[in-house]
Amino acid sequence: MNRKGVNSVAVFRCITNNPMILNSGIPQVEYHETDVLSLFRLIQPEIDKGYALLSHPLTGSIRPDITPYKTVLLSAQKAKADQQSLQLIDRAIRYAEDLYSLREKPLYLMWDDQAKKDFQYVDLSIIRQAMEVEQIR
Amino acid sequence: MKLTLNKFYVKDIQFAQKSAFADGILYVDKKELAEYLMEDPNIQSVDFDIARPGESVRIIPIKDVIQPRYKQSGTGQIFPGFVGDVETVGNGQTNVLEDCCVATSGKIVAFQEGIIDMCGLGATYNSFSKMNILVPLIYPVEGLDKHTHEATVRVAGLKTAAYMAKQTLNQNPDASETYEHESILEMGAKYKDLPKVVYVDMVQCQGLMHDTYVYGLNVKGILSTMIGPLEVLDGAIISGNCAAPGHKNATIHHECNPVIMELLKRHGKDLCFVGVLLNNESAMLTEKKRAAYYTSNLSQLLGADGMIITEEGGGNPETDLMLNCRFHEKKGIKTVLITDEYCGRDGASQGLADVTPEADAVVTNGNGNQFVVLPKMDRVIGDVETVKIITGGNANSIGQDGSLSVEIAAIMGSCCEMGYEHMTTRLR
Repeated sequence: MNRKGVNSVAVFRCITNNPMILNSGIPQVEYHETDVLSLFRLIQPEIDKGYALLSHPLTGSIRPDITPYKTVLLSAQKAKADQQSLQLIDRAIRYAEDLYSLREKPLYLMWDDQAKKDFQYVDLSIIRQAMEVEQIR
Repeated sequence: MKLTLNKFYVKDIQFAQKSAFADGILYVDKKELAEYLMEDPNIQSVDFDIARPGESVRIIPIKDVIQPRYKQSGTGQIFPGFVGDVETVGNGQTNVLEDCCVATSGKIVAFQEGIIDMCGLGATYNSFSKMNILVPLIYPVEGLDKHTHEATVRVAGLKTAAYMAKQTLNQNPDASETYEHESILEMGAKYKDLPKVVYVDMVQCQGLMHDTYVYGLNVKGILSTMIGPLEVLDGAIISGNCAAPGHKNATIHHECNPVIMELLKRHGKDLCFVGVLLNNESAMLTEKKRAAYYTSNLSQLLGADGMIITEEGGGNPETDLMLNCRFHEKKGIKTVLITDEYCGRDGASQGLADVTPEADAVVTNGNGNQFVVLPKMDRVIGDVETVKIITGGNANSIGQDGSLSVEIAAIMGSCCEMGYEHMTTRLR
């Protein structure tokens, strides 16, 4: 993964539907008001263009049909399409589609405002820890 | 190293004026235990409840399940880094309360998971419903941040478990088992004709409610490392994973890790159990690769012929599982993977979020998407209201008769990926 130029160059794109990320101080945020499955579908063509996944699309243990929020880190620079990233986003989409189809109304639609805030907080915690461990900012 | 587990079978837990263990009954002085837990200034108040096998009781939400253990002899103390000081464990004698556990309950975030039903259909999906359970209900001081709240509940559970098992000190156990594990050079010489088997214990460290601790250290960002199996039995690995109850590894799963127990029993007979490698499941792909490569490097250094690899959680950890499988197989080391699946109501959907062609020996421990209707219970321990906001159930989906429609993923430990429960795969 591309980790060069840490201090001066944007090393990642932060694709998210989590509003808490917007005010978190994390740079390069690209916010989309949509659900997790649609977010994955937005990311897929970016990977086709040559942006690689830096974080796994299915971070954490909370399933994509349960949490309304997800943040995914992509490389900031384009290269030849990354085969692992293509496979992972494709499998993540299928995984989420299957889980969304478990019920008429996916579980992520049922939460109250407090639960939504807590899902946002857990997603933020995961992405912050990922950046800390990988020493990217 | 040599470790003896002194087993004390618990027939009942009762509240009493004085804590003691006698004739299979664990007596708990609530006041004394509460004072011990409230040494932590983050706890505003604490209460306790008891659930017994067969009772019409539902415990929800559950953060961790812990088997009570306390060291009778040897170095260090149980749960080093939390209850015991940071000192080597895994030797001497450890007293164990069998048929008994602690289940910590508390609302850290607004969405809730983790059910133990003591009777009915739900009770068939985990072993905890057959145990006598002490439930500490931890109420934190106001304004506590979520990370500290989680740590407070986690440590209170460990302290409760140690306090309970401490009541058996200097008593004769009902049974005892001794396990020995030599140095690698020694076992290599002793069992040179036996296949060398290494166990890879994948642990999750990704953030709030998704972390694992070894000797008190959050092992996020570590290079894969090695730990003695007997240390694990003395509580050197602690769960801080509060999400995905059906397939997270609770502390009791680490203490009683079925893969370690089986390998220890067969060590020196039909295989040589070299040791345990800890592989962190990170959220980042570079970390995943680094961990899996480094684990396979260590396996090669250890001269492993075969690996057993267990997963924690689902989704992204499947990538760790498959990378470990691929890198080991490419080095000529045979792998067996242990996991669970989310493959839809009918079991026909893609069960794993990642796969690799080298994964030709995979054991599953159940389908977390299996739907069940759990009957109403007479009593709820924990927070009754949380039944409305658990994964798989909401105010509208609770039946008029009080029954609860959920996936078994909501039931604590139902699809344990270490093989702790009874759902598994067998070749016909």
